[in-house]
Amino acid sequence: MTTLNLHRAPFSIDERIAIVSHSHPSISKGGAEIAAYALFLGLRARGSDVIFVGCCPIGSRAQLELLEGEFAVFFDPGDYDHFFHLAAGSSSDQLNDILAREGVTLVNFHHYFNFGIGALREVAAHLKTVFTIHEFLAICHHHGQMITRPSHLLCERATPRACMTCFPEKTRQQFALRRRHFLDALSEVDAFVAPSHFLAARYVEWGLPQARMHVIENGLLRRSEMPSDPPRGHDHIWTFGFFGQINPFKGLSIILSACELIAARPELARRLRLRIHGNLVGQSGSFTEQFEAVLKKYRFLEYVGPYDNNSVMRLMMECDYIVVPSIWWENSPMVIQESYAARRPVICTGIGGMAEKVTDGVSGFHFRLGDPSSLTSTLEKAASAGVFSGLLAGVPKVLTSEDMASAYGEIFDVIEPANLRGARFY
Amino acid sequence: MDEGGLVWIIGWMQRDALVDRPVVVLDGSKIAAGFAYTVMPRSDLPEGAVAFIGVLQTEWQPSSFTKPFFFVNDHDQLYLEGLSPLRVLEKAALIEHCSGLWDIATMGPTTGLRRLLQNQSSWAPLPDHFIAEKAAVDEVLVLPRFGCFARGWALSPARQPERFLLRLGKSVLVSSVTATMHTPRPDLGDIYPGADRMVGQAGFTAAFPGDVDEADLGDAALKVVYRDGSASVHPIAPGPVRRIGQGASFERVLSLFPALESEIFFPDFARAIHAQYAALAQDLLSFFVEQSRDALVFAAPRDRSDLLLMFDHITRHVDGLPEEAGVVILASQDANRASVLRSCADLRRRGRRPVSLVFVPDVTLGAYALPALAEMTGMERFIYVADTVVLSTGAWKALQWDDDAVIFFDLSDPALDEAEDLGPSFDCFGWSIRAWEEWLGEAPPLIGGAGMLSPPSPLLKDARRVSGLAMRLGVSAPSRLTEAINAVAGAVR
Repeated sequence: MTTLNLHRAPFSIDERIAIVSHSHPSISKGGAEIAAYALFLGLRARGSDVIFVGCCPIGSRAQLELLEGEFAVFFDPGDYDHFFHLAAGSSSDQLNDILAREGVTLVNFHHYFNFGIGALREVAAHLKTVFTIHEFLAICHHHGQMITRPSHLLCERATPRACMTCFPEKTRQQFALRRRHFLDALSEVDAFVAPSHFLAARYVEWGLPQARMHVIENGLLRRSEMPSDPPRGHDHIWTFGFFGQINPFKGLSIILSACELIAARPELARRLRLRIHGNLVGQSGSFTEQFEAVLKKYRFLEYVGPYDNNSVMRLMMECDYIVVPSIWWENSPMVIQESYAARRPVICTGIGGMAEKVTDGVSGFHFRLGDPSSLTSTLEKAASAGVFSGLLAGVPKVLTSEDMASAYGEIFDVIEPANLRGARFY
Repeated sequence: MDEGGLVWIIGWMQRDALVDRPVVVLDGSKIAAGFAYTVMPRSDLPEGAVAFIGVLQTEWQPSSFTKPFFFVNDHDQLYLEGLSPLRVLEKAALIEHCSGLWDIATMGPTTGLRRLLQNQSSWAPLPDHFIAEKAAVDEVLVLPRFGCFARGWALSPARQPERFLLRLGKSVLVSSVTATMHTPRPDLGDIYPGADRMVGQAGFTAAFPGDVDEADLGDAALKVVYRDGSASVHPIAPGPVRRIGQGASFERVLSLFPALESEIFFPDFARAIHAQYAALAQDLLSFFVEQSRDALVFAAPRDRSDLLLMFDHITRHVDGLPEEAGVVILASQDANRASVLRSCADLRRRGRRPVSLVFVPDVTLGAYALPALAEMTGMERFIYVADTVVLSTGAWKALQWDDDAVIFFDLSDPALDEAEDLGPSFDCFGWSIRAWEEWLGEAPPLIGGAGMLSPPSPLLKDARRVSGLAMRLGVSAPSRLTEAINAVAGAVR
């Protein structure tokens, strides 16, 4: 497994590259498609011959905005199978047509979702292929989160028996076949990229060959120089921001539970603000009711609502810290890179990709998974001018899209042409 | 005239001391009759007159077009004169007409006459107010070639039920004495409060062996026959009547007879189930057929994900098949029908091999459908892959069609170590149609498919075996009932 870091290597790729994403930023702005698009722009900025192909629901044609060098494959969500990740053959045909028509020689998939794993397998059988992994979907049927169902406990390792416990309607054999199915398709891939060591290690443990695994952090589309912060005074009110989709895995309920503990200590409550940015996705009615009730109850809690990604730096800079309380492993959350780009320390759950990206006591703090009490004491510890300035100094630099393109370029340069490849690993 | 041939008459007469007497009916000709009746007062009648309800035992048949005279006393030439035209009523209308009269009867065999109206041979239900007996059927399970099973209740304050009759369309079945049980129905306590003993025996479950006309299950009714010879009839709404194999599975019978395998009627029941499965195995619907002498036949999995995995594998490997080999999909017309149609269309568009799609009622019976399938597709040799089996890439490479040789792809459990082999199975094997048909003989299909049957040693001795290349999608043990049914009637060879 290699780690490719920030440096501008000579860029001499003699390939026509396609960056293939499961969506297009004009349709969806999830972390994986933004990372894919950033790489596309980074490669282009560095003079590479590159196109972008997004897979979009057939009903989204009207919203889709394709610029020069961008293409779309359309799929019918009703045809898609979410267990084996199989799509109707037409998605694969459309993709192959575009790749052939455009003379593409190297493909970097950033997902197989929507296209179906069959499309990746077909392409990888005859073109150089790099696959960037953004979550655990091949390992875990539970939205690729590796948390148990329905109790939402962290899953340490997927086995057919453990997976059947989460999905009793399926058989152990189906889960064993699912793993074989993915490994069989991925064995055609020449190189894998993960944005975190944590994610890479999980996939290697699952069955991907270590020799083909690389770690490259996601680069950001924009990185502007941040103005220096004024020093915080003793009477400073500390603002902790939450950014992202408010879905059941992002752990907003931990913040809401912490509110009660904070309120019980009026002196602490006077010194901080909790500010929530994002839109509610897939939340139960009871959560929404609880959220609204808590918002009315505590003056130090504020819900700002959804935000435009173009505004995220400014909104983050209006906070002192960014809180990432996810209850799943995460791998390399874009929100952490954005926090660092906004020069904000991060307070996160001390597990998985979050723990890897945030060094405890250096660029932020960890708190115990799902523990409102631990979060409360961490917020209290962070609400200090001395602590803040120390952590601010530890915030690392982030990769730009061009930095990311350079790191990918090192891989694109060295992978063997498909017809010279060695034996399948599975 | 009722179902027993008795003629009921109502009217009025001068009171005398008799309540039964011989009469002569004059209606074109003279016809002898016996007349029994009960009398009651009626305010509009002249002094000395009474109303009556009576029954004639006679060859005379009433008609609206005649005016009969009933000579009730030859000596005095007393007679009763019929209305002109004579008012002929249905039995139910007569009962309704008399509903207030029985209770004010002053003389005559009132109870006996009422009981006569509850004639055993009648299927006409009597009004609730006429009888104290109440009954209903909660569930009727119909199994053609066997009969029915019914669960219900019957309450009778004074009479003890002796047996039950069930009418479905034109079929009338009698409960089997050896397959009838009575159970408490405390939920009926409010109908006759305090009748604990009656409620303690009110529930009944019974088997009704006999022929049922599958095409006509309407107009269902339950008849309770009591020990005194009378009966009560209770209509059954269409909802509780379910055909096994259509509205209910055969396992449903277990809820009526938990020791089903130990019941005397079980062998007949099992044979009827087998007959049903034999018919299902022959019930093929061709959607499109492309002829091929050699065929790879897939029974489509019922789980949509497994179904799409099957098509994914076929799409990947179909071009590697010998040129003369075709692919046949056996699928159910269920919720996955659209996926099957789209995937087959995709396969035809992409592939260069004949593709056939045939719908069957039960894909688990796919192996038994092969002979009938061969008549559609011209298939002479086949490799059959059941709905619970996935071929590995290696298996696809090992596919071959040899003339009469049987080939077994030994199954493995993908969730276990590869060394653990589940052995050969009729869930993944190849043979010639002629040899398979001959081998099957007259044996009825096994519930759950041919894979329920272990290939016997003599067959394995001459078989080619391919190990570790076919995998089970799930390993499930058949239910005890399925095993018991399969064990009956020489189903297991």
